[in-house]
Formats: sequence, C-alpha cells, structure tokens
Amino acid sequence: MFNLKNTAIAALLAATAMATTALADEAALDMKFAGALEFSDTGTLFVGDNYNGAIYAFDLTGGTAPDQVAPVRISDIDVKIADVLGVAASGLAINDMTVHPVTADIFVSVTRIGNFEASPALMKVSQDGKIEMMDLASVPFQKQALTNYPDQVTRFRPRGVGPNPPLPRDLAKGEIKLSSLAIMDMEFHDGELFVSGVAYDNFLSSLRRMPYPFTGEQSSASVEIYHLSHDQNETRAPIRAMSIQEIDGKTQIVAAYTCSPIVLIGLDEIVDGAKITGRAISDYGNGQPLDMVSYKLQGQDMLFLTNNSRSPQVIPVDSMNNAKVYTAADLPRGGQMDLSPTMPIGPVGKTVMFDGMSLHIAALGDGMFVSLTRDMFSGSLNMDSNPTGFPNRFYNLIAEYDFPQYWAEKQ
Amino acid sequence: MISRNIGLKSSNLRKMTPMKARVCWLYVATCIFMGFLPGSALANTGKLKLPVYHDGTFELVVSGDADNLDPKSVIQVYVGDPAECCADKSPMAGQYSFNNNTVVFAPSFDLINGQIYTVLTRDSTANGPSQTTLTPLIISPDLDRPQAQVTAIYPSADALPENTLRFYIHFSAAMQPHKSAEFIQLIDHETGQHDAQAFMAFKQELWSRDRKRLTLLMDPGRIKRGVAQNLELGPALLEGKTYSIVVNEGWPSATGAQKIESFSKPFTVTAALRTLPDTKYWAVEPPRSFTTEPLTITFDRPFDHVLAQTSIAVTDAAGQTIDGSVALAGNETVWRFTPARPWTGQNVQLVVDATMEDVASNNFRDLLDHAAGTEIQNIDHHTINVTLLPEPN
Repeated sequence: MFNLKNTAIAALLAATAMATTALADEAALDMKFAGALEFSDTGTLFVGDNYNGAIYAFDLTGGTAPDQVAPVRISDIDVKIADVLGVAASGLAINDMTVHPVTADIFVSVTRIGNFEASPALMKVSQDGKIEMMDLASVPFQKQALTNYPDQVTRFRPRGVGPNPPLPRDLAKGEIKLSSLAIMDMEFHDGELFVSGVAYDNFLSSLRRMPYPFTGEQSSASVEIYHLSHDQNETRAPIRAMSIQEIDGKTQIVAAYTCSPIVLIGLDEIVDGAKITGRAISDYGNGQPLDMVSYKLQGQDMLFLTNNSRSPQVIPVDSMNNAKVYTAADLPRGGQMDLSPTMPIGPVGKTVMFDGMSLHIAALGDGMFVSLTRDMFSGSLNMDSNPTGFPNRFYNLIAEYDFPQYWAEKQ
Repeated sequence: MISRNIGLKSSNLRKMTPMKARVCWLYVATCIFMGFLPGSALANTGKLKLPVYHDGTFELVVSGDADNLDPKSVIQVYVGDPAECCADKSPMAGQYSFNNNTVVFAPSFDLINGQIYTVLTRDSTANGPSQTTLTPLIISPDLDRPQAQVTAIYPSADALPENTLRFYIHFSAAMQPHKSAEFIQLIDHETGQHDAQAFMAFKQELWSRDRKRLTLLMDPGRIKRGVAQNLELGPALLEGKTYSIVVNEGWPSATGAQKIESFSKPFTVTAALRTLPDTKYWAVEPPRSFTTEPLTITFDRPFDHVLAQTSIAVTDAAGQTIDGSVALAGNETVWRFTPARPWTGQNVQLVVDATMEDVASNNFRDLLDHAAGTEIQNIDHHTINVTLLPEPN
C-alpha cells in the first residue's frame, strides 16, 4: 500500500507485530474507523469500527484517579485536535466522545482526512487540558468482528422534504453506505458489551451482546418497534443512543430512535437470532438523538438525551416505571409531528436550556457534563464542562443581571 | 494564500497513485524545490539551521554538544502560517529519534498537499539563549500536473472587424476571479504598448458557472461612434492595424494549485461591420433523408460563438424541435447540426432567433451602433425552410 510509512495505521502495524500481549488475539491492529466509544467500569476502551465491522477493546486500565475531577474547557477544540493531526479543521471529523471512568481523561474518536485516505485517530484530552493523539501501538488490544455485518454496497435512498425533490445535500446521502451504521452506540454492563446498529439482512435494526474479554461468542437479535410519530412498525432504522437502566424491576435498554420514540427492551430478550419487539413508551418530538448520558441529579437517576434538532431532554429514570406501552391502537392514524395534539406522549421528562448545540456529551465526574458544543453565533466548536443541574454558560446571553445598575440598586 | 478547503478537496479527488511530492520552502517570494535532492542541500547554511524533509520525515543535523538532547525540543511541525505560530498551538504528532547528531521526526500522518505548515527549529546547543527559527513549508500538490492553459479564444479568426465587441476566453481549469485586468492585455503590435482601457471594467467579471470561460467585452463606449469615450480615446481597435490579446503567465487557478501559461492571440483589424445580418445570404446545405448527415449553414459573417450555438432551432414539419448537436467551424461562419436520430420527412425548418448576434453584436433587429432614429426591425425570428435531399440508394 502506498505511503504507509506515514500513516498511524502503518506505525501500528509495525509496532503491534512486535507486541505480544495477553489480550491481543490479532497480530496487527487494522482499525479503519474510530467511531462509537464506550468504557468498561475499570477503563477498557471499546471503539466501534463501522468500516471494518469490528469492535476493538484497548486496555487503558491501571490509571490513577485525580483527587478531584476538574472541569476542562478548550476553545476551538476541533482546530486544536486538527493541529496535532497536521490538518486544517476542515480535514477533521469528530465521531464520538467518552470519559475514562477512573482517570477522567476525555477521549475523542476522530477521522483525519488526508491526501489519499481517511485515517482513524483517538485523541486524549487530559485533566490539565493537554491534547494528544493516542499511540495505540503501545496499548494491548482485543478485536471482535461483528457477525452479520451488512453488505458494504447498499447505500441510502435520498429524499426531499414532502413533495420537493432532493437537494444536493440530500443527494449526498445517496453516497453513504448502510454499513456505516453498523455500530451506533455501545453500553458496557456487567461484563458484557451491548451494541446497537444495523445488521445484514432486510431486518436491519439490531442489538448485539458479547462478553468481555472477547471470546468470539456473540448474540445478534433483530429489533422491531412501533414508531409513534411515523405510525408504523419499523425494523430498519437503528437505535441511535441508549442506556441500560433498572425499570419495572428488570434490567432494560432505554433506546432512543430518530423522530423520536423511546423504547424499552429487556436485556433477557437479546438472544441470538431473536426478533424482538421493543416497547414504545414515549415520544418527546421530532429530531435525531445524539447521546444519552446516565447521571444522578439530587440523588435521582436521570437521563440526559441530546438531539441534533432540539434542546436536550432530561428524563427521570423513575418516570419510566409502569409506563404505558403504545401500539397503533392507541393513536390516531397518520404521522404525528411536534404540533400534533398527541405529542409529546408518555414520560418524556423536560426539555432544558442548553446554549449552543452539543455534538457529543458525556458525564465528567459527579455533577459535570463535558460537551463538544457548537457555538450558535461563531460556529466554533468548544469543549465545555457544564454543571449537570444547569448545563449552561452565559457569554451568549444578556439578561437583567448583566446590567451594572441592577447590582448598584441591590446595594 | 492557498485555500486549505479547496486544497483538501482537490487532493482527495486524486487517484491513489504514488505522489512525487516536492517540497517548497518559502522565503519571501522565492521557492527552492528540494524534492529528492541530496539531503544536505539546505541543512547547515551558515548559522541558519534548516531541516530536510525527505520521504515523509524531517531530518535535522545538530552541531556541537548534543548530549542529553531532547529531540522534541529542536524540531516541531505546526499547522498554519509562521505569522500565527506557535503560541497555544500543539505541534503535529509523530515519532522522534536521535542518532549520529541527526534528529529525525516522522509525523504520524502525511503532510497535506497545499496546506501551509510551520517548521520550528531551535538551536539549543548554542551558547546563550536558544534561538528559534520558524520556516514555512508547503507540499505543492500539482507540480507534476500540466499548468493551466488558455484552450481557446473566440472569435477565432485572424482578422476581426474594428467593432468586435465580445471575446470568450476558455481555460483548462477553473480560474481565480478578479484577475482579468491584471493578466489580460491588448497589445498594439506597432507600438508594443498595451491599452489599459480597451476592455470594459465591471465590478463582476463575466464567468461561466464552472469558471472556465471568461467573457471579455471591448469597452462599447469606444466602439459606439460619438459617445464620450469614443471621442476622447478613439476606438481600441483600428482598421489595418495588428494587435494581440495576451494572457500573461501566472494567473492562478481557483484552487491556487496551477498557474496559467502565457498565451497570445494576434489578429489584424478589418473594416467595422455595420450592416444587419441577413439569412438571404446564408448558404444552406441540406442533408439526405434517413441519414444522420449534418445540416450545414454557411453564414454571411462570423457570429458570436455562444449565441450561434443556442439561437438556431431545427424543427420538423409539425413544429417539434429535433434533437441534435451543433458544431461551429470556419471561424464561426459555418454552423453544422447533426441530428440525434436520422432525418425523417421531406422538410425541416431552421428557426433563427432574431437576437442572435454577430461578432460585433449586431443582430437581426438592430445594429449595436445604429444611427439615431434608425427603425428597429420588429421580428422575433427568421424561418428557413429546408428540403431534405432524397435518401441514398
């Protein structure tokens, strides 16, 4: 292969060939894409490679916890990551972000667009704000290939809004392979990794589970849901973001779909070859989920659900107990949109203020979120640390409290 | 300055073939191409210590006592211009090694073609405070690619009427706009002087959508008799003289990756064309039925290269437009229509839009430069009936 010398992959190939580790069951690290990220409780980092149809587990355990988790704030984080990769920010795509459960280092998976190829890279942002590229060659890893990885030919069918023909940006969707959605979100729970995404046949939406350390064993189940706002059963569009919670006395996946039902699926239902019907319990309105963060607010288990088209939704986990399961019989026929009288429906929690738009968000210690936030006015992408109770900053707002006279009068 | 967005995109479009990248260190305006020159070419030049970039790695020879040297401290590569470097910036990731007084830095990734980098070198072995040098570096993406060229200019004839209005200049690549005044000249062969006011100056240049064709207008104020500029400056082109339209070397392409090669179109000037065109004087050569032979018109004069291709429709007996392609020849005096499917029936019509202009912008209704009070011909089009020849035996 041309010019391998200068790619991270090549460096990895060379170095891992020499490394012999307990975990590595592959001679060389052949990761092509660094997508979805998830940590085990002790610090193994799972990286979803949608181009290879595989999950890599990097052993990053053994770090020490900081005395106190510090907020990390970095302006123009995309430019600063691109600097380390030797590209302009336009040559960078950010794919996911997660936080090390012990060290509180922040990990960002990215794609570097080079002269001839796109390369994966994993960036580490330390508690002191230092940005570095992970030298994965020196990290022991395990690889688990996905069973039923979809074909890498079929692409999406572009559409316009309503009767309008697709615009050029809509048509670009026609270039995207379905297989690029093979791994959408991952959750580690009790020694197992749960993976949402699409699988090979026409029944595309899937949930997989695999033990970690990887043994090669893997179960893949198809997932059907009643999509409240589309008023139809759906089997293709995958779960975009999920969390594992105790609901109704059972361990269940809380799954968020595009446009935008929330569905419960018991872990016990995820059996190899099963066709699962998820239980649709709510729909907070149209849009596409990005991340679902599990956290505690004033002692209460909460979910913080971001979306590329709306403000975040904060949903108390308790509110999903004894929730009504909706089927077609419960709703009027036809599509339901934000303004339909039936919407929102079920236990959707509350929409909260969030200045800018979070591209990715994760819990940072207790009481903070770290967010890659797109500033509304400048368009800059900033790494912010926000308190979970009120995840905002004030620099884009002018309120009564910003007037000196207000404070003079107070005195 | 090279646009990083466009540079990236253009390079991504290139096929995956081994790149013969050459390196260009920029000193003010001078480029020294290092390419695969011997490694020592620019390494210790006087006190200025410069690294060599070769085959994807940087090498820097360190002089003097190099014990306990941290290789990271003597060379770093940053994205961007030296003017914006390097406070609060992270250097590019890569592997460092140090052997035989040479620090080697292998970046983790290829440098991006067309992206400006800053190479920071620090003379840490000198006595006194360390000296830092910032050197811009750009990997030129397109040195092996032919330079941008003017591929055609219309009107194409060697002799043009004095009142020629419009030129079309075709380029091999999309070009940077707002450069025509800087790079295009009308040169008088007799004096060798260029006429800075020959062309119409617009705020907006007239580019085709792909920015590969520029429409260049002679200043109509100098063509129209009795108008202020015509009286002050006289016509830019004078009958009997010889001129050249020159496109000077160096006009950058839209991506900045290519520069134009110089181009010149010499022509002599004939009498002004101040009569209306007339289809009566056109010679039509009919094709044979049931063939795809072209239908050819020889005009009474050269017509505008663009309008001649779009202003004449061919219709069948029912008035339906016949599909086909148009080619021009004879310096835009010959129009040739080749049908997509064989001709049928006995007759076809040529429908000529009355706004079709000749090279001096005269059309079937009106002269560009008509005398006051001249009546305008109130017509939309001319129709020419063409009887097809019998089918071949």
